[in-house]
Amino acid sequence: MTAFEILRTNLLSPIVLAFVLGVVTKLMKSELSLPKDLYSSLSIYLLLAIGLKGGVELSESTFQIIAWPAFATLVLGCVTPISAYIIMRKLGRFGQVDAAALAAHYGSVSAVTFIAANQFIEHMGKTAEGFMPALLTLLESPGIHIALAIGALKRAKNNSLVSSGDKKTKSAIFHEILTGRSMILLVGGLVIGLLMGANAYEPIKPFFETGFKGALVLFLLEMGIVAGARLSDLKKVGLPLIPLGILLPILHGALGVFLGHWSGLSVGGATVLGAMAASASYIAAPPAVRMTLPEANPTYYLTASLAVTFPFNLVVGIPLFFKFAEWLAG
Amino acid sequence: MKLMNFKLVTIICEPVLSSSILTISQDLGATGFTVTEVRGQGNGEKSSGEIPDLKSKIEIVVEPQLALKIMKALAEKFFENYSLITYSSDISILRPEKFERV
Repeated sequence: MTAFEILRTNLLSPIVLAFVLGVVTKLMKSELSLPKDLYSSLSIYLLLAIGLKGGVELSESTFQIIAWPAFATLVLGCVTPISAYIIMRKLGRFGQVDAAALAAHYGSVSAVTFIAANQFIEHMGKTAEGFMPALLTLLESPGIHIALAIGALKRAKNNSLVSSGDKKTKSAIFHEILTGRSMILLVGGLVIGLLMGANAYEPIKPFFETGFKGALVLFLLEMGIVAGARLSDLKKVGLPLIPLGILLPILHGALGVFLGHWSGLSVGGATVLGAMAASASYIAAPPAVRMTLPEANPTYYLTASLAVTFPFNLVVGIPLFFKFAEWLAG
Repeated sequence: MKLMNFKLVTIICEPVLSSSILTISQDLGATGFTVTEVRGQGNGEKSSGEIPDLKSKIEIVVEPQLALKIMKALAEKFFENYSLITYSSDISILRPEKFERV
């Protein structure tokens, strides 16, 4: 398939169309939005489903196969917050604290982008390694911690009045990231899947797999509404966020695909790893950043992550990483 | 039974703050709280969270002198960088001992 055909197929996929409908809904100022409880329920369902499936597949793979991809993922988790910080400082001319806040988002990962990438490669007739959800959990927290540490260091340097409560906050943040809903559901699902194995998964499989794609469409509709609501903020926070919100995922995504390929992942797996590295967190990172770096303007990081990077990856990024992975694989 | 004059401290804040606010108010001597999820928007605020206008509304029943103490503590800690408002109102309650630290 040519790049154009791939892009067209992706654009006409139900999840992308649902996302676009969400954005249009918001632009038309419709009052439609998913009930908050449904939104939470859908995210619980989706995260647990990928955790369980990943766990079952993990029970059938060996340590040797996972070791290098896991190492590559950890490298990505350490490199992406730093590169994001430097780019936001140098090219974006953001202040230290805002740059660190943005870096925490770009260093972490968006589970929805991960799911979308999996759907995309499936659509292209490829599959990703079954242990990819395990890599997703590995990538989630190091980036946030590293970026927050950069932010806290810079803040401490500039401000001698470091409050005594800082230590307490730090352990609270650690606790929050580890016990956040995405961590609990993904890691919990992985452990359950690993322990129960494929036979025990069989009876619950219809519930978690048959409805999965449909639930994803609904979820993406709401994501579109949420992203649409952030679009007006783009004007407020200035336009540099748009090129930066596109440049970063391209860089991180290419690095992710490259490391994925190097560590022995298939074309599908490398594409998914690229999409993971390219994505910006919008569930785990925002509360952690809000509590640790209160001076950072939330409009910057939420707008960049939701209104620029997520749509970019969904529409252009994932097909791009797929092409790159195919090219690397020869 | 006699009605006693107490204060109702109300805080409307971004949801991410609610657990810290509850800890602070309880450390200062508040014995209970009610939290509701509400929607709303304030003046020049920095919205955080996935759903921008989602807020937490925290209500605390306390003795009058404690009301000011809690509000001052919150103001000092959060007013500069976070979106929140706090106000107190006069209320009348029965069983004042219910609101005392045992």
